[in-house]
Amino acid sequence: MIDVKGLGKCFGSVRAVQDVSFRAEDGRVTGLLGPNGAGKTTTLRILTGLMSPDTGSVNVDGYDVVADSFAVQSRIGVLPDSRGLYPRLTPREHIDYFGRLQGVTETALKARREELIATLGLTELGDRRVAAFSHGERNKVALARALVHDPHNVVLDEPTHGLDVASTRTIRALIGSLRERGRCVLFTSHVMQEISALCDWIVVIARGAVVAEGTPGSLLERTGCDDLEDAFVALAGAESHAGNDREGRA
Amino acid sequence: MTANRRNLRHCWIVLKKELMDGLRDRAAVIGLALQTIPTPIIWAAIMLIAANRMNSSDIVLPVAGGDNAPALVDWLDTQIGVEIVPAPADPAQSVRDGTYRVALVIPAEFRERMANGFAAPVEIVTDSGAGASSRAAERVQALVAGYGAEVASLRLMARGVAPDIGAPLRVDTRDVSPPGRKEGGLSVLLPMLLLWTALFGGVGIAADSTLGERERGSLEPLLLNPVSRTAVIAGKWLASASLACASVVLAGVTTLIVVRSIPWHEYGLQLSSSDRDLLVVTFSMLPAALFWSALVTLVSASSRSQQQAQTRFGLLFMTVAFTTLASFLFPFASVPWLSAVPILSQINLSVDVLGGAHPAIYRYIVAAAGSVILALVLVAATARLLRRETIVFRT
Repeated sequence: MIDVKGLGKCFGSVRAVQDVSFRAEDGRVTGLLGPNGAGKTTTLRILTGLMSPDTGSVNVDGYDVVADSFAVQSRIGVLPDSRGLYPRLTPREHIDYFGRLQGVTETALKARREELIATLGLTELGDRRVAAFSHGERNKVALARALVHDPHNVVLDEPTHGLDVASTRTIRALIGSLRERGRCVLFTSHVMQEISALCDWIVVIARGAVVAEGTPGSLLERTGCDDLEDAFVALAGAESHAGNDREGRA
Repeated sequence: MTANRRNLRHCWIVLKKELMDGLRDRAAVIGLALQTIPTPIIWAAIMLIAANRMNSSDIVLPVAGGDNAPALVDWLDTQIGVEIVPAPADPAQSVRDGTYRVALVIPAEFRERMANGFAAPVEIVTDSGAGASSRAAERVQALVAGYGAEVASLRLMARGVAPDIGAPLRVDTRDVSPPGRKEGGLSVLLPMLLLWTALFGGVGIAADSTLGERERGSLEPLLLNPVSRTAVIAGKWLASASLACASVVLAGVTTLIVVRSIPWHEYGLQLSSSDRDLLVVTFSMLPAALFWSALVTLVSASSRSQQQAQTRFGLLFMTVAFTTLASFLFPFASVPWLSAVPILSQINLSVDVLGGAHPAIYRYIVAAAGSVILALVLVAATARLLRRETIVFRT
């Protein structure tokens, strides 16, 4: 369970996040939606303990992210916006490195590693260096190392960005299985089909603040739109278009 | 698990990963071996060539007008390392064009003036612009002067006067330089080679594991693990330092093997440093590698780009080059606090050891402590830097 209350963050004179509050429940997939520069990535960085908020608080499974960032980080698995790999290491070595840093025991690590390799379809690539991997393959490796400690909370920043159909399906299936196992999943995406197919709860952010939240059905009802894309445009403001919205990558 | 044990464990995990990653960078490893192993071999080759030059210092001396002074020519011919040959038609030209290094011209008036007890003229032809020519000329001058002194003594004795009357001074030179100073520059080469490898050995890993980590976009995922920044940086520092230390040991051992496999005495050179001296010098250089790796880790972590880091490395290396040069030229060792300054202290120690001195054990301890303490301060500073959002998310 991730509980975000009144988050605010400034960079110099720019207010990236002004007042973000929402709650991502266990056993639910929560979608964080917002146009370019809305503050999604900053919000994710704060709730994963990489940045400290100017105002507000984040609570993960009862732990405060500022006061107890290590406890939060061991209960959360993150696929961040920047997800670079080590070109000379293999997927198995990536998973092991992060697993050991997360304190997973060697026996548990071995089982978990092979499970992730199989689930993500990396069996044939497991012992090859990632330097020559495709975008989709790299994404899977980054996802595997984020989930190595089987975290209760999973935060995914555009997990299917740039992936082909097969890889996208693999990741959607993974998100579905995480929900079935009672995990708390929070992810950002711009693919409306994905959001309508996966999300139980949607939080819309614009200009650094939450402008609406609810189930996909309730958002459609509230805006009087027929599909989510129209609803999103209506909620986030007419100047932004969900279809080509790309948040600037740091 | 206590926080300290957890930090140590994390530091060890990061260290192992960075070493594995760094050693897989084949180009970097080959580059490191190439700047370590050949240097002692090249140095030995230069020394042997120079020694050959020295030994072939027999002077071939063309003498023009030898008939005017047969006694002088005979006397010169009996001197070791001098070969008398008939002079070419134009002795000056033969020296100018380098056919001979030096020539001796004895004018016709020599015989007459010598017989009458007047100062007899002798002309040495030299090209003072060429080093070899002026060195040969100095030697010929000394020989001719020696002949003159002998003649003078004989004349005085013939008149019943003690020869010392004409030579009121006797100048002796006593050489007090320790034997090591004659070791063909080993006392300069080895410290410089070891320092060089200590400086360069760890730069690759230091830059790749900090600045490279951020440029690849893998720093953010790494810091999402519940691991202290200090443990992360300490692991990266130790990985860089391990490689630097390994390079230093490799360079030291290569030098030792090269030094021992050449019969220096056959070339008229003498190397009195023992195996132990060379190894002591090698291992006393390791703290400099620890210090320098910490410094380049800090510089890399705080740099915006590889280009900026390169520029900063260049400045650092230049500073070290000038400071060590100065420490060779000026007696830095007499300033007490300098014996704790990284790099300078290690250079001073190694120059002393190779110069035949036996530095007290406390000097090794002070030198090592100075470097290690400064390294730890730099590691702490880098870890602090990594807590800044502007550094972690810098683009």
